[in-house]
Amino acid sequence: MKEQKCVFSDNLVSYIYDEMENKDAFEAHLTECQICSEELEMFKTLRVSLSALREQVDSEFEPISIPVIEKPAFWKKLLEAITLSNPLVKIAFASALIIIFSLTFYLLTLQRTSDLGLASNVKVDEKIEPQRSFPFAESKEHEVFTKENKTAEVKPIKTERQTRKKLKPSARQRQQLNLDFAESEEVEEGIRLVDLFEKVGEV
Amino acid sequence: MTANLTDEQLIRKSLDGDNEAFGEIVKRWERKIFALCYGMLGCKEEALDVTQETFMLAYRSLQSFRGEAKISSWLHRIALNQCLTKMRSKKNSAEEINIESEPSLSTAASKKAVSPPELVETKERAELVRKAVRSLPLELRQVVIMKEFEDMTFQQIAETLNLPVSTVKSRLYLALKQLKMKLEEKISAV
Ligand SMILES: [Zn+2]
Repeated sequence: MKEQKCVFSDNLVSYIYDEMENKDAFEAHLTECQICSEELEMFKTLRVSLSALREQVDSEFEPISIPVIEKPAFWKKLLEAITLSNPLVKIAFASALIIIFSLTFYLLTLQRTSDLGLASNVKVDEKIEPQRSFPFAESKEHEVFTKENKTAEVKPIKTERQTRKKLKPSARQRQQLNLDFAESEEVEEGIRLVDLFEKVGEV
Repeated sequence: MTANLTDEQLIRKSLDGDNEAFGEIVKRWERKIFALCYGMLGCKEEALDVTQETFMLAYRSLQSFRGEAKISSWLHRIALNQCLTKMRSKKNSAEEINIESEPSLSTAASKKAVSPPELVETKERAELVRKAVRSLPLELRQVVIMKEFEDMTFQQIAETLNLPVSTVKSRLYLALKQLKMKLEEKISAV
């Protein structure tokens, strides 16, 4: 038994779901076409049944709960990846960390040395006390400046370093600086801060 | 605050780590996605599971959302894929249940005894229609669900399924015809 179909059958759905632009023309066709008018009635009844299911579905809806959506932070992910990885990866990561720290430490040390007016170019005696003329000795952190403790004592914070960078002497100034420094080696009677404090204490 | 933003704005905010924005996306679309899943799977519990999976998956793949499609289309496609996966896994599992004997609407049977007759009638009819919808071929089923349960326009369905509007219309016509036939069979069998 072959189903009868009108050439406008596909338009029927546009009409039923109210998405038809030229409704009047189709309604005119409906009055003449028995196939379409019968199908229309059939679909209307069917849609009533479908709406019963729709009500059922709507009534059974429950808002879903999504477990705390939190994107793990980069460090958390990294840590997770490392803890879950095999021992070789762990060792590799540890080695990488050591290398990075060492490199950073080394670079920082280099940076400080250059910040301090190319002190590395200067032959520094074991116990040279800074002179008041030393241009960067204004800050108290340079009060005692010896080869051994220069890295330990000098801990400039970022902002200080930035100002120092601005104050970085030009080549000529450096030369001058080195001269000053060299001179100071000869001058044995420079005023030491320790002495100064003692003098202040006496007053 | 997020309620008056567009879907696209919400996605952008979600990408910036704003969980509240994605929560709003869920709130906007969960009902429709649930209806789609329910229609496709014919089971409330499975539909809830797949709805949740859909949003979880969407959240996890937010980065891959290029914005070429609408959020709704994107979510619908994920949901349909998840439904297919669910159906396949069910088919493969030994516990595969025959469509005719699968569990009925969860509350229908228990309420039957205490419900007024017209409610029972509605529920019974819904049950019959559910089975009829469930027995439609997939490509017809998804179209009829999107139209009947989600009130999507032909254009929206076409965009979601990447089909010409004319194909959507002819599929819907076919779906309605088949549904009618299947329902008649079921009613005469009762
Ligand atoms: Zn006709």
